[in-house]
Amino acid sequence: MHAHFAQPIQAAAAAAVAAAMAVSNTSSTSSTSEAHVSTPVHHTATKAEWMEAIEQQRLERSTLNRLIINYLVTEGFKEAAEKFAEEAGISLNNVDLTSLDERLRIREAIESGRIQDAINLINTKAPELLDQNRQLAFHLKQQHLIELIRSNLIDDALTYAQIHLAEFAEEEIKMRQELEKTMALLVFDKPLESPYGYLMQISHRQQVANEINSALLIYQNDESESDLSMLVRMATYMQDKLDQKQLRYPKLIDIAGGKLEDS
Amino acid sequence: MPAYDDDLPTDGEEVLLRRLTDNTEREERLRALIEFKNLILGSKRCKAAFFRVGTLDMLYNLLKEYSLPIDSDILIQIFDCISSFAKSTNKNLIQRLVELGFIEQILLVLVDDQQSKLFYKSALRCLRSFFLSKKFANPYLSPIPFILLCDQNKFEPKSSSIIVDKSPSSDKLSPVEILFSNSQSLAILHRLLSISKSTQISVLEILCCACVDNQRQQEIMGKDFIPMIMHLLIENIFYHKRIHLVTLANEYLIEVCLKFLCSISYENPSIAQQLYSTISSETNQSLCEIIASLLKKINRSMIISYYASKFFVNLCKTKVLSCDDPYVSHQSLASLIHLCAKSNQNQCIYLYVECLDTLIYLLNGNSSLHHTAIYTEQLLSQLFNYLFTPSKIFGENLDEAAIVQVRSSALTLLAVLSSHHEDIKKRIAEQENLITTAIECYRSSNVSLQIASLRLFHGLSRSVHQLRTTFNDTICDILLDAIKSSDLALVKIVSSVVSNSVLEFSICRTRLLSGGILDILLTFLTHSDQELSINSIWALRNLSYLSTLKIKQDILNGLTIERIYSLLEQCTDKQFLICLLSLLRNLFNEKDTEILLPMFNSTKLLSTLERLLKKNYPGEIHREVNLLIDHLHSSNHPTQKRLSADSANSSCRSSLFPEYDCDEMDQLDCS
Repeated sequence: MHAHFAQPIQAAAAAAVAAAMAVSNTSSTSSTSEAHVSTPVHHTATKAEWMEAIEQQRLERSTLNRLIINYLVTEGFKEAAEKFAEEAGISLNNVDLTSLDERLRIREAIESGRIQDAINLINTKAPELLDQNRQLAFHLKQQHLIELIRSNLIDDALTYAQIHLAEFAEEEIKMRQELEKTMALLVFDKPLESPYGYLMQISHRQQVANEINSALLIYQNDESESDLSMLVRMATYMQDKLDQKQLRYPKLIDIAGGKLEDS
Repeated sequence: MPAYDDDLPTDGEEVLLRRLTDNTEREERLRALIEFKNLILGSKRCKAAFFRVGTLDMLYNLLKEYSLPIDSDILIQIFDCISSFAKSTNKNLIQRLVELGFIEQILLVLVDDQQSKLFYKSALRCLRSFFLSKKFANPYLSPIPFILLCDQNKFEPKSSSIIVDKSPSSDKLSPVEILFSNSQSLAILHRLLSISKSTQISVLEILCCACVDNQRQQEIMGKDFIPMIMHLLIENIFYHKRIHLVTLANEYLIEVCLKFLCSISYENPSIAQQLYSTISSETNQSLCEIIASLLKKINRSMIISYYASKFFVNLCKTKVLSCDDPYVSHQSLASLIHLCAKSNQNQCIYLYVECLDTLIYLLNGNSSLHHTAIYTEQLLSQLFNYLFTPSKIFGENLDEAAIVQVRSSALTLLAVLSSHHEDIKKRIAEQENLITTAIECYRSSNVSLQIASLRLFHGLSRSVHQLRTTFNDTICDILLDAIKSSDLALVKIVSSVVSNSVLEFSICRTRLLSGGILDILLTFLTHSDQELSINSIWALRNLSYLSTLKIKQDILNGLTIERIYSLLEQCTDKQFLICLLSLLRNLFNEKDTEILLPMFNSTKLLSTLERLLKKNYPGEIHREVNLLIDHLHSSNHPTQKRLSADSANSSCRSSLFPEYDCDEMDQLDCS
């Protein structure tokens, strides 16, 4: 597990640093001889130079381990976090595993379609969350409606929408539009194959689960996304900046595999 | 009104309610409560429906039943339910919650110090919901009514008692009044500060809301919260954890501590002084040094930077710190400007509005900071962006109310910046599209924007140059329209603008006169609103200065001689009298005295003025009376020279600053 994560983390972190340096040095870079006059192409470094710059970024193993633990804890992978901590010799004393457990149970409930159970668990853990975050409350109830439609409980679905979702449609046009799309599923014999079939996909449950997880982390005053996610976003952002300046560089094209483009 | 407001509980919900009331078995009640809670959390419809059938009364009875002895599992569920109800925007619902006595009952159960952390967390969360309810908004936490001020450095500090608007929410049934009516409340909150981070946050937020006036601030101060809050501040500033130097929980606590310090020092010189002198026993640093260190960190959250800056602003406005103190001019001011200019669409727009409003509060009356504020053009260019194209900064999906607020605040800040220095006035007035935009704002249907545009005109009208150039016919028509408004706030501001716009060199003067401004000003003289009546006599004074005989006669005909005598004899308002006396001086300008004085019967007038001298009025009034007497004597004896004060010091015969104190003519730019 350690070897699987090391390279892309290093690459992402190092790419972020190297890319930042490249962006700041663009003014001193000269054009290539075959460059078109109106759109000069600049090189930042060869692949070898780039890899050397990456290698020079000395990331300690303990830092990498902490990044991984942080990711596993943030995303709610408790067992994996405990196993990894054991293998890597890291203490989890500073981690609130009870809270992690709770988030895990909520995620499992949503991903298995037991939305009402998830709502009950959320209200136990964070009683103010659904009052404070209307969008979250709407998405949970919308998902419950989708589960009722999936189970072909049409009457229940209609009653549920009328009693529990109509108020959201009154408040905000986006919520009304989403509700309309959800209700439109009732019109189709095969809702999964309808234009709004994506709502019935399992990935939609995961989307809601992720949204809830982030909200719960913010509610308990933790960062809503893992440091690893932020690093990946930083690397993507920096590469976009380099692309906008039309610089050629060994681009990280496969973050999971740590693969760099041949320059 | 939402469609669900008339809803009643469904059949299933009725069954649940019956389970709660009819079944007295504890476990069953607990299950029913949990189901009930899961229904109402996140559902406005459910809350409204249950409220209609008197569920709050039922909950209150349950709360009382399980308070003696305390059944913490059941009470936690009840607290969570009530907390949800207290977040409602239904004023009747909130009022009912308060009337039933939930706050008192919660305070009662909090006396017990043997309960679990979860119990206290839940109870305090519930209490906090009452205090944070919009129905009971703390006026100290929301923008105060705004008056464009003169330079406050010249005058005495404001008195320490601030009159708060008495709204229905500030009566005996407000959460704040209930809190203070219980002599143990503050001690309970103090004890609960040590339980957990969550209780600390709740307690501090409640205390912020409780700082509604100087008296309440003093009561809180007297309960020794400051050492504990200093400790919390230091503990969370210097706490290190894993990858991050400060976790979000630490940051949030720092924010709330700072917010509390801002709330308790707001408009309270005595407390502000105490805080200034407070030294930490842990680090031996002063509170100011600790808070200033937060402003030096680049990666601090915007909210921490905001409240840290606001703390120094409060100290400045209470005269504990001078404007040129580095905490104010270098750190706080710079930080607020940087926050306004910082582009971060993820931040709540209302934070930007808060920054702007705090800058308004700081810079209003502190003109020595104006040049510092606009030194790099960063602030001005951002204000113009907020005003002209807010959607480019905040995105297209911003709601209308937020856009209006940010534009109003930007316009008001421009008004403050343009209220004193001539070069800044010029810079602002000459900004392309500014005047056009201000005119559009007035013509919008939004009162905040209308008022803000008039404030800008008021600020600009404090300049001879602007009165000669910027105040064109369109603006004149706006003034004539606004002065007839039914909105008193609007009328008061525009009367200040009119006061300046009727001066002899103003290009607006003729149009205002032909639009009937004289009659309007005369009717305002007897208005019940003191500020408006003073503005109107001020305007008449300015109108009479270097005026033609015809205008003076029109003023006299409108005022009437009898009324003038009546006012001289009976008026006790110092500012009004000063304006009236200098109005008379203006009327009796040399060449017109022969025509106008006989209308008064000069003997009667002189004896009236001499009677005024015998009264126990302030020196300013006596000075005006003496000047007028001398003026009248020299009119009667043309060869006799006037007192040198009269010709050399033409102040108080006109002024561009319709405020409670006269300003010097030498501030005018006569170029």
